[in-house]
Amino acid sequence: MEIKAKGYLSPLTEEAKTSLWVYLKEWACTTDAKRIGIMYLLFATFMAIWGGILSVIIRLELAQHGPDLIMDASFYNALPGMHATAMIFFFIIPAFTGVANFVVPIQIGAPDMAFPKLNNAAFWILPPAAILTFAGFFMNSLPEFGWTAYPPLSNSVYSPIWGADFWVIGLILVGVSSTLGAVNFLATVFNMRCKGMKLFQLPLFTWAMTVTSFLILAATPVLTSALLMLTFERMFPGVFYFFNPAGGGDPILYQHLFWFYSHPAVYIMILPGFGMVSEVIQVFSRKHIFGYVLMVWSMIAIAVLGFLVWAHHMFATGIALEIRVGFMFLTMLIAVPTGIKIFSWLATMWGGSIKFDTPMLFATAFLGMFTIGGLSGVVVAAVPVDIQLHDTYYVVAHIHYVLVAGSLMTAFAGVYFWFPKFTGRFYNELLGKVHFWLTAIFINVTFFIQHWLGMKGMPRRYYDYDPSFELANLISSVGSVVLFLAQFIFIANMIWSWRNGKVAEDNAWKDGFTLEWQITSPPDHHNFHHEPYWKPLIRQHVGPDQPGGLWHRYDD
Amino acid sequence: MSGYFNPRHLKRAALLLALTLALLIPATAFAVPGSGEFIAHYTENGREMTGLYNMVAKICLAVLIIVEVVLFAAIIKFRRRSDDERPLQNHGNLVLEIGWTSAAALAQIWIGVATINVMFATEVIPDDIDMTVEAVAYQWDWQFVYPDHGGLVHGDLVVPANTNIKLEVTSRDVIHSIFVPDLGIKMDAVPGRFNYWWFRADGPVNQVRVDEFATVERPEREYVTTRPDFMQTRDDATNKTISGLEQRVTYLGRSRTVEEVSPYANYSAIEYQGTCTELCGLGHWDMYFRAVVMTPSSFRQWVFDMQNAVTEANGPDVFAARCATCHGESGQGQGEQFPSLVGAARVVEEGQKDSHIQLVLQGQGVMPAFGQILNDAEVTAVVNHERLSWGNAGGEVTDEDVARVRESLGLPPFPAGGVEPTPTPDLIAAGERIYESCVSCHGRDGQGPDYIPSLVNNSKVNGDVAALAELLIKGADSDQWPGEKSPVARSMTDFQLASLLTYLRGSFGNESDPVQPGDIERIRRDIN
Repeated sequence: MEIKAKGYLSPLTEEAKTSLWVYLKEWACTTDAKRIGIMYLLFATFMAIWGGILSVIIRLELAQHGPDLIMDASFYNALPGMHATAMIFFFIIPAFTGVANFVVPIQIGAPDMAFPKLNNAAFWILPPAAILTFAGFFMNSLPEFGWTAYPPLSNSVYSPIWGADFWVIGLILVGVSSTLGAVNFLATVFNMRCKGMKLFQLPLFTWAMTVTSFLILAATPVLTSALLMLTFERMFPGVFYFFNPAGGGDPILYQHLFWFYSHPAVYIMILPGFGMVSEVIQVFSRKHIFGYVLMVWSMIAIAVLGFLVWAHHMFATGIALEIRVGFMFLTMLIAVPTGIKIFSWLATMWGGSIKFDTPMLFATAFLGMFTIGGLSGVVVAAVPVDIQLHDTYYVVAHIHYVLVAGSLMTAFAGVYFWFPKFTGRFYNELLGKVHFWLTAIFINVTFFIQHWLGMKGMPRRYYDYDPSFELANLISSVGSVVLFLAQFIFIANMIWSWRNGKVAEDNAWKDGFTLEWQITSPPDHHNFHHEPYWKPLIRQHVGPDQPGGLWHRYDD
Repeated sequence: MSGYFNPRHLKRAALLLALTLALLIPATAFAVPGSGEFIAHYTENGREMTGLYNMVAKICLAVLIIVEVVLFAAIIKFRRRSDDERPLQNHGNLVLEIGWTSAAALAQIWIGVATINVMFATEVIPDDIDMTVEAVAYQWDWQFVYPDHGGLVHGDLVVPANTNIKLEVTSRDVIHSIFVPDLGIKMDAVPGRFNYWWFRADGPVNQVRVDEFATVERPEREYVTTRPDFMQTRDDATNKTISGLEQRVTYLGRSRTVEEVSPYANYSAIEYQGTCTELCGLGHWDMYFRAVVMTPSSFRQWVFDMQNAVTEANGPDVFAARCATCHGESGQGQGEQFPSLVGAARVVEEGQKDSHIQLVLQGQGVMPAFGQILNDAEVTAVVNHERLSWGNAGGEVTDEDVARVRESLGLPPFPAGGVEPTPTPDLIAAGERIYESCVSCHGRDGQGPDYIPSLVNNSKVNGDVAALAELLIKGADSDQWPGEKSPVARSMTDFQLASLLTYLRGSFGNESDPVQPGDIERIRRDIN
């Protein structure tokens, strides 16, 4: 079989040109950030389907009142945790890392990441980690304590199962992988920017990845240590009592450690999306971002504040009132930089010339729908209200408006946006639009009604519920099934267009101004043929007959 | 594709988007964040929280509408009409940026300050607590202990209306969380610590009429609402005039079937659904209980009935509620972790009766200890059910057997109907014997020499029992012998300390209430 491909996709050796096997080996061992990025994206896609299947099983069980639809309570209890693990650790974070691997080095004018081999290693930790994490499915011993794994429920007395140990070790490995990735991004961004490019001139997606990497670097070790402590407690019962009150431990300590990672993790999962949306809106509105400096500082502010609000997940655990007041104010403060970003995106669109291709549709809908998630966040920041809504479906609705209408929609915007650069071909616009409309509408169908369920007191992680909640649950379940099926349109579109799409020019959207739009589509193995340089932005109003001023220049 | 720059497609897309948004905005007004109604309407604190929610929700709704309208306008107004449009560039507007930053910050501070007011109003436990209830969670049910009523133990939260009630929430195994949405009660039950919550429930609306003891007419209920709630599924209790049970709970999970006639049908009461909201394992979704608010006179009657009831337990019911989740509905077990009871040696052999009872009382591995959960009648009933069902033919056990095993294991007695309070004369008699060892300093009449504090009319002796017990258990520095603590009661049993305190508080002219051993047990747990 002969491999015909352009750019970085083309085989490097003569052997690989004729043998698919050698070509695939070349991919597996590659140190090219672009290929690693694509592998991340493929892996994330598989895990997204897996997590999606789990969520659909959950929703099917809940579609009707009555506990006996498809499974026993024990299997059901494992599902929400497995779904969350798959989506958070194996889908969203790797998906963003994948796009960033491809785009960030090019945006700063570098030929590759700073540590290419480390980059490959960071990726290859993920598949075995996934196998360990989900090993319980093959061993019939699933961890049934949710993704938060609060002890004592998760210790060896109440969860005496091997699957739980594998799950914990799998998560520790994911932590290692993302830490390696973060180190790599920071080294790349701080050392490998092209001539003349200053920090406050970086494209916003690169900025977002930089801030995200700092978050990962600072937060992940805390999760790792919490999980190690949990493992010690599980492996050596009667020796270690970190969290077990029977030996003087404190179960609340685990929650502090866990949320010290897992709150910043929310921003790890949304900041790259913010960056992507910033790029998409600028290109499709033909306008530079409104308030660039404030956009960067608000990202940094979100990251810093993100470390100071973890206890708002624990308002109902009985921590002192004064402490809760402090955490509440810091939590509400996060709405300020987030608000700045929303308003700045709106101001960027205002007065622009907006073209609604699929990436822009996703970015626009993200603006409209993420705001709902952000504002319901303000509602649950108010302590007495939060205590009542804590662990109800309101919180489920809130996180899904943030993670699905936020992270997932931005990831789609980014993938559609850079698809011509990834492959050298356009995706099918009609399929893209169908995919967009189904996704945008059915996200609302699925998750909107869950706010109501939470208000009326339906707790989350319930195998069965009060019959009065049946209709709302049915609506949500129908929405989730359609939402899940609609994603196959996206996958089909990507596969079909990779070979058959319309050929894309270098600057596929015509108005791209960052460096990746000035090299070939798809880029060659080392991105640039000679060292690029950066031309400072001219801060002046450009008249209607002039092209929007380019920020970054690379002349071939 | 040729459709890329076809303005017709764009127009259609924009129109569709507009349509969706137009649908979305009323939808948001209906639900998020002004979604429906908070249902915490039936306590003072609940109404405070509802008011706060409505305020925050309105601000958020306003912000949401502003954002959506601007977005909508931008979509319509600035969509690309021809391919060579070049918009005017601008890179920011300092005034605008400072404007929305400070507006957002101001709104947040406003919300924050309002929230703090509500927090202090609803969460600081007031001094005038009339009654304490201990809520103990375990896998997978609740147990409510009434220390003010002779240590009564009950499976539902039953409280008098218009009374300040303090909940002491804890757990025996993993973390649970008590949740009664209608009353605005939510607090995590964490093993190894007590969390506190307080509330004052409204109770049945007709209580002023039927309750001759209630002298104060309740002010009309303030009904806080954002808008008519046409999706309301629970009946509002405002229009009920019948006496007796005003509102029933209709769903209590799988392990508790809702009876034809509520066990509270004879009282003037109102029932709410309570449940668990922290994932706690297999039966997490099945931890429903009733929160019953009664008129104070009905509550007194209920306590009397509970303490004097001839309790007959039904073995199959107890088994279905407590055991079937793990051991299966017909004792068949579930995997290795939850063994089958059919034909098991402990269950069928005559000589293993005590061992069978002991296992139920103490638990083993993941099996919880039911000693403090089931009373003697219930243990007897469930043990007999297991020994005589599914083809098993072990001999029967009796209440006396259970009480005997309990005693041999050193467990406190738990007869049906709650622990009888120890009669005060018994306590005084025992206390007098213990006081013999205090006589050398404090004197036989409570009046020692000048440098020893007198026990007669002593404010510490006659004051707060908890403080007094703590003083004796931990000892204290005195001016007399600095650094010399004398924790005289540290090694006393609960009964000994209770009788000593009762004696002190009822002798030498003191006339304070007696102290029960159960009180001391709770105080010890608090101070440790």
